[in-house]
Amino acid sequence: MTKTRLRIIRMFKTLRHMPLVASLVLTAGLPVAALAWDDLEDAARGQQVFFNAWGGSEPINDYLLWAADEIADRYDIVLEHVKVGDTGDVVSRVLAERAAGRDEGGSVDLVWINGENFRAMKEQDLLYGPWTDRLPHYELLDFDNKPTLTMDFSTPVDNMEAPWGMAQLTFMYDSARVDTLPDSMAELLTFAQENPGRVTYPALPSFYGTTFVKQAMLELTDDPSVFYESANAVEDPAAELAPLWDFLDELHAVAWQQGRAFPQDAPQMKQMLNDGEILLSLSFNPNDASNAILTGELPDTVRTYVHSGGTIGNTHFLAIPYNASAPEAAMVVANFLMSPEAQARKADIEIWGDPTVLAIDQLSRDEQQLFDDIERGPAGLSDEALEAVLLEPHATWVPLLEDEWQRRYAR
Amino acid sequence: MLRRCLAAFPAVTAAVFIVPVVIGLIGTWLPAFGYLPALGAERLTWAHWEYLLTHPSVPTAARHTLISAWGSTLLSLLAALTLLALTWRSRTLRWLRRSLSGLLAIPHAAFAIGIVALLAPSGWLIKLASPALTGWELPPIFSLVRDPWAISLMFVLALKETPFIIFMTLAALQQLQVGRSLQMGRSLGYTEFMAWRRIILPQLLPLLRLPLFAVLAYGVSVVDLALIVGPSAPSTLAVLVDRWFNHPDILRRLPGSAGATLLLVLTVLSLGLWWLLEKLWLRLSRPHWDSGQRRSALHWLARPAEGLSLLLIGSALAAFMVLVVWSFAFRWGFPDPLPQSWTLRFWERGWTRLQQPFWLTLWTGLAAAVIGLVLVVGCLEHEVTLRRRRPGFTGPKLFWLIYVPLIVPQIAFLFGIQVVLVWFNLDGNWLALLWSHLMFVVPYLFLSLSGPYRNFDDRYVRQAMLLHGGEWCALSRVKWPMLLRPLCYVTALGFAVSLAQYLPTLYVGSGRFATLTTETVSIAGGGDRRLVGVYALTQWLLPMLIYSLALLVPAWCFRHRRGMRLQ
Amino acid sequence: MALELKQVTVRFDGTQLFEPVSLRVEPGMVTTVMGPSGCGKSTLLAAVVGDLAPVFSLSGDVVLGGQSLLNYPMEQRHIGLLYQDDLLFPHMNVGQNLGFALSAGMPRQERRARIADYLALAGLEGYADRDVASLSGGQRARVSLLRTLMAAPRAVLLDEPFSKLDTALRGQFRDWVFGTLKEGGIPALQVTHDVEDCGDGPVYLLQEGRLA
Repeated sequence: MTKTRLRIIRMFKTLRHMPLVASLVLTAGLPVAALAWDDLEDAARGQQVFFNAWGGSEPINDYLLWAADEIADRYDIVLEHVKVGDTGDVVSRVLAERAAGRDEGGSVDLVWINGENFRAMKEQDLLYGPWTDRLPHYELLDFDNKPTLTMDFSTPVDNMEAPWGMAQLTFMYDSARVDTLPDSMAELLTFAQENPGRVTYPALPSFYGTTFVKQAMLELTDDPSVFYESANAVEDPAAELAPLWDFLDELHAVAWQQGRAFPQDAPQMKQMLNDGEILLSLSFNPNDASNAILTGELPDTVRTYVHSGGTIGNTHFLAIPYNASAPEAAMVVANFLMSPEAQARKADIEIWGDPTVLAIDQLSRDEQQLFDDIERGPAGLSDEALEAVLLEPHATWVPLLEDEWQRRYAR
Repeated sequence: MLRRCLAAFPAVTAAVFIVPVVIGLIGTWLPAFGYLPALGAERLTWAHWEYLLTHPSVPTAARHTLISAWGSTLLSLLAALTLLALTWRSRTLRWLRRSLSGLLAIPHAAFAIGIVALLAPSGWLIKLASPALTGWELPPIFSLVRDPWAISLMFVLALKETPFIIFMTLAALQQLQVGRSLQMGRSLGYTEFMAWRRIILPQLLPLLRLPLFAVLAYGVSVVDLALIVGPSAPSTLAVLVDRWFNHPDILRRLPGSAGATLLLVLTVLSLGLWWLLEKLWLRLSRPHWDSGQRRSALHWLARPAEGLSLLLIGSALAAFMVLVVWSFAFRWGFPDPLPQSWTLRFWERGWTRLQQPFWLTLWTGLAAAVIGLVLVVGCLEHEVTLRRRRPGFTGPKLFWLIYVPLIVPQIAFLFGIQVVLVWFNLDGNWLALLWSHLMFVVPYLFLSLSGPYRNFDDRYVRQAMLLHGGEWCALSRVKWPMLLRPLCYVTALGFAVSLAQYLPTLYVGSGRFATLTTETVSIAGGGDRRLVGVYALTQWLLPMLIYSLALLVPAWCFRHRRGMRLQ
Repeated sequence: MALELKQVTVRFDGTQLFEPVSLRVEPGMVTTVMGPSGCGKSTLLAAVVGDLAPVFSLSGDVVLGGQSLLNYPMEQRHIGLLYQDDLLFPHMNVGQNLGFALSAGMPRQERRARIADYLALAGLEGYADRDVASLSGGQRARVSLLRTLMAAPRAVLLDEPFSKLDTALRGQFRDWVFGTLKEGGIPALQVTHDVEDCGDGPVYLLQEGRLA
């Protein structure tokens, strides 16, 4: 932003409460929405944003360091990455702040979130907003092809969180050890029976595990539409889930540790895949494997696949707690993270490989070039393979799944 | 004047550390009965207890907790005692003593990660043997770690606690003048081992009660170790409760609070049972003390005990080595005995990334250790005054309270404390962080310093006062220099305790303070073992450095003083 | 300067430990109180030096050079006390042990000269830099007395100072101590249970709570 423009904004800032001036501005044809955003960017200057985000991945931490540098240069905002092990910790902290009556000046300004954590915070009125439609880059989002941008695990987003990246359940395997791939949950069972002790999935309530079980649930029923209704509205939810439990019973009999132990989460499964302890691993990021090959974490023979019937896809978001200390700056940061430049860098498998939330065809030619320049990773999937996306089932099914899973397999 | 200042120490120390725990506990108990206005829960109810007690995973999880906590406590006590009894005066003991500081410095998470990287089906041991010896091209499908009976968790906990028990036993033994008792026992025709059982052990057990309480309580409430080596379906009770506190469904925090309270109940019951068993053992074994039996059938234990000490040091060393190898690896698959390609990039990156946490950890740890030392020395010195006033006095009852933070599971009061801190606007404040570390540093300092400090021959102080006048001079020029060795050592211990704090740093620091431990735990979540290796080793090397300094400084100061050498 | 005990007795829990003791210790003389162990000899010394634990209560008066000591705390009475253990500070060398008893303001040169003089007195020339742990039992005992004398005490109390030395050394050391005290004209009160340790000064017997 140039100095003159800044000065003009400051001038308007001092005058903005005067109706006369406001009408003058309007008549002069200046876009009010844009002015409001600039105004906000101005207010955000010098603020500090505590961005609470999972800190378990070096590529992601590196990416956020880059973003912090850029944001400091461009907006004079200090972005602090608070590395969290579990987003639940952040929810707890905001909750503790509300319990103590701190309704402003909270310790969290921006949080990386989705799914159940989002639903919980939204239902408990722990979020600031709606705000995302004020962001200039909001218009670039790919709402037409990505329904999960407005529906987060069946909870309406309602502009309370800004889309940041796309996720889809993807399986990984080592092509040096596996020839024929299962194309469905039924085939996965056969595969497991042929390779006893070499297939597993993360224990529930880890969301990786929950997604795997939801995927099985959707695939094993004749009529998946049931699961898109509230479980409370279904006559006999237990009957609907019966095929799932039969399947898991059979799977566990031949699974890793005979289903008496499970990995904690997907990163642990990635290790086990590298070690050959298991033959199939899973991830939410289709480019995870490519990135891991480049960093040496996985052998270069690892490839990925999805079921041709589709796999569950969702979006991860950025939200601002209701008591954030610097909501203006948090919005500026979110807007930057949604910019074509930041999104293209994030999608680069050498950086992170997280798919973009933007509609690439709506971008300028230069911006599109940024995305075109990204090389497809050694283990990347074709766009066609990724097009078969299943939506998350209705959120009310999750507690049913988790409780029954624990009753059956974790007692 | 000095004495009058000292009088304030116990009260201040106790108040500073107990009041928050009590407030924290209340802040956890109310939600357990359904009162958490921030969630709109304001009606008292038993429902959360019902949920907890009928939850399908709870019985097994509680079983895991009890097996690992009790098993590890008994094992580490047994290991420590057999080791000391059978190697007393031998070269093995001197060797063990020297490596003790290295063993004590081990941050438990790093140790557990190393052990898993060593013993897992695809761990280093099997890699080294495959396929040449085993013929395995893929790792075996049986697993030594994360077994569904929590046995591996129990062993790892025991390995981790044994050095601490050895350390505390050595301190207690100095109090008991073992040398003389053993000599007497032997002159009466008892074998050394029997002399230990009949003469030393009955005096020793009561002295070890508090350290064992700390170990038992830690075993009940440990989360990070249980996540790394514990069973997964279900996990231990502490992990289950921790998950509820982080559950996306915010209302799970209510049964979570009930679960945290249940953990506390389990801890208190366990401690009570331990106390009863100790009494019972003394009562039952008393008739045998003068039975005249001079030889023990248990003599064959001598060899395994040596093996055990080797295993102890060996496993720490091997866990350390496997982390070193991983941290320099680029590609390492199964069954390669060593990585296919090596790289320095994880150290280069880790080093830049860890600089800030490194300094924060260093300063916080040093500050906590030094402040803790001042508080504890003040309390113990005050005790000397009290003891002169009332002979036979062993310390005010108030001192028991100092141990409360060690015994109450952290999850059971941290949420409550967090609320109070936010209330007073003290969260995310370095001083609050320091204080939360002190809460755990002070009891450990007290535990380890009270032995040598109480044993000090007070006549030196009287003599110094007669010769030079002034109590301060007597303390600062005679007593404390003479105690320099234990003072330095426990300072290092305090540092290591501060360094290891994970949950308090997270909760009290509002996530604003990244220490070596929080960084290691968060990077461990990503499962990249090369990076985890770098982080865990840094987290290991720093306390080791401090321990070495704590050993070297007094050794150098007194290099020409034979009377100051360790007997 | 003489040390006087006037009707001194000590009570514990209201019980009198011994009948009131009155005696006068002349300068340069070693006065001995003898008695079996547990008769309250050491408590008597503690009363004189001002080191009674608060549980004991003292009655009577202790007078040194015509001045009552009772209102002074232990460190201001300027009385030396020698135990059966030499209590040499193990973290200091011989010179530092002796120097500890000197006043802080003394210049370094003078300090060193004084220490050397005293060591010569005990036949320990050149021992200033020695580690105390390297000394023999007899040498340690001598350094311990030197240290006490270094503080220029107005009186010296001896609590069985010879009992831990072996017989050969014992007589020699005792004669040396008594001689040194006599030379300095320092009043000395000794308690012991051994007849042998009595010098040529007056000897009292503390038996069944009574001084004879």
